[in-house]
Amino acid sequence: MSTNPAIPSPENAPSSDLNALFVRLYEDLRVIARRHMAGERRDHPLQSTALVHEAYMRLVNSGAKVENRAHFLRLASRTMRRILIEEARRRKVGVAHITLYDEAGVVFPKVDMIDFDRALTRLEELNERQALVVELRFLIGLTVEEVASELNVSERTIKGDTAFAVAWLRRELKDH
Amino acid sequence: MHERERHQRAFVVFDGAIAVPEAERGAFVAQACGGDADLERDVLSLLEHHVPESKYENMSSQPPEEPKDLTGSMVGRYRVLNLQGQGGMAVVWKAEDHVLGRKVAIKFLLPVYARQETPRRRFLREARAVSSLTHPGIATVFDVGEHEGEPYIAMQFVEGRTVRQRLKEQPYAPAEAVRVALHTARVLQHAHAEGIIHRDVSPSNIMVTNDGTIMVLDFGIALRSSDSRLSRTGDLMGTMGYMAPEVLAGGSATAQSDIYSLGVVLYQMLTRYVPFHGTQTGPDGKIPELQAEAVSRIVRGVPKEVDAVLEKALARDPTARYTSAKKFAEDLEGLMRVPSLPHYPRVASRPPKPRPAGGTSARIRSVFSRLTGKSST
Repeated sequence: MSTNPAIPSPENAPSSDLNALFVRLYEDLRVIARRHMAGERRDHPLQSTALVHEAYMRLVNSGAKVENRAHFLRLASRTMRRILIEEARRRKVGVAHITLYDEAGVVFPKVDMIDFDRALTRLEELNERQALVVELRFLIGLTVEEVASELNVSERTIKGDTAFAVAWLRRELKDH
Repeated sequence: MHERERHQRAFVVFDGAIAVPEAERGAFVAQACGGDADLERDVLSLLEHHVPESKYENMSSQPPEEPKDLTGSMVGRYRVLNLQGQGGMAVVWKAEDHVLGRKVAIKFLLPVYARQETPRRRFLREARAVSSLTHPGIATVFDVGEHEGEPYIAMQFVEGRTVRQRLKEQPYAPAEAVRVALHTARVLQHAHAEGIIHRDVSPSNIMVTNDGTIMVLDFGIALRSSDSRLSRTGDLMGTMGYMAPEVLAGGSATAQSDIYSLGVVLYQMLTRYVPFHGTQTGPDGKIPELQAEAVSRIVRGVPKEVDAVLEKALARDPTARYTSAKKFAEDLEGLMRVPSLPHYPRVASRPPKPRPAGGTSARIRSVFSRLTGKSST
């Protein structure tokens, strides 16, 4: 098993292994895209399918190596935020929004995506795992159990990280 | 490195604090920070923003439904110009009265509430009640109607800055804070006399308009959080800090609970902080017995007379509070005449530390033994 597979592009993914990976990644991207569009109006010019394609192409072109699924998911989610922010700037219609939620409910309803992205990057500098937990739970939609198994720590740890990260982000975002 | 280390230390104290009952958290944090005042302040402010996972269990797992874009369309006789703002319950559009040519504000319930019978009924009932109020501090209701099955209220369009916005930008001079509270109390007095309770007096609902009038917004239209699924974390917490203890405990809103909320807003205008950081209901659903720290202790130059008024407005027991907004207003008027009330902006030297209302040393002892003894998880 290669430890650092490059993200397969549709052209270089003919083998059945890569094909399966491709299908799975694509499915993940769809989910992430839908979640990133949740805060946007329904008539948003960029539809979630287009967002998936755009993100996918960027990921392939970046030649980024992925370490594991969690890493890939984070990369994808971040790329989509970049795209949506650029898109909002291009349209010159105020700001892009994002809603953070998990199976339990909405944690941040409709926050400014640029502010949020900045705050999350800052949190990552202070504690990488806390930022990753927020991303995996609320932006990518993994359950506590799944996050714990991806990161190889206990569910209690994930819940502790979540509580702190959410409080930290709420405080950080309130001042904007 | 240093920053990461501080972050980590804050995390450890925070993680321990959320495992102890809310009433004991303040003492726990003080103890655990061992005199590091910056760390203590940091953790306390984080606790203020803490949302337990259980708090969002009842919420919809669907992302909130977007209100329809009405820009350019006709709602009754009003042409919608643009989106004015969106709160936890409702969305407000700026519009133009087709017939009279004046600007109006049109308020719709958010889609999720518009479909529910209770919020919908209350929205309309209260709109009718408020339409009977005539006061310069209350936006006049012009019209109530239905647009594509959704109820709306057309009212006077006001522009200005809310206390919340103002607090973000610059501190209040104590005299100014008292003046804003006084005018708000007068508005409440008027409404209470007509039997209308505001239910959600908070910095986002008090506005100083561009011509200087102090207005109380969302009058009587706000619903109690227990009425519905409005408990989207942000809003719930945002307003929770202002709700009277008896309302938090599930009681109904009264004139006394409006007075309490205004007391909290005044406290915040004077200090920038709400009196009880992050301490709402405990895990058992009970309100911790806390007493606000006197403002004069943390804001230099604020006379003791202010403390006495706040103590009476913020009394935990509603029967110990001002019996009416009129009495509250009279005392605020009295404060305006205290010559030592500063007319220039002041800031608090530190966040207030609410004290347990009784048996302080016993409580600290119990927390201390918890800290030194076995971990609580």
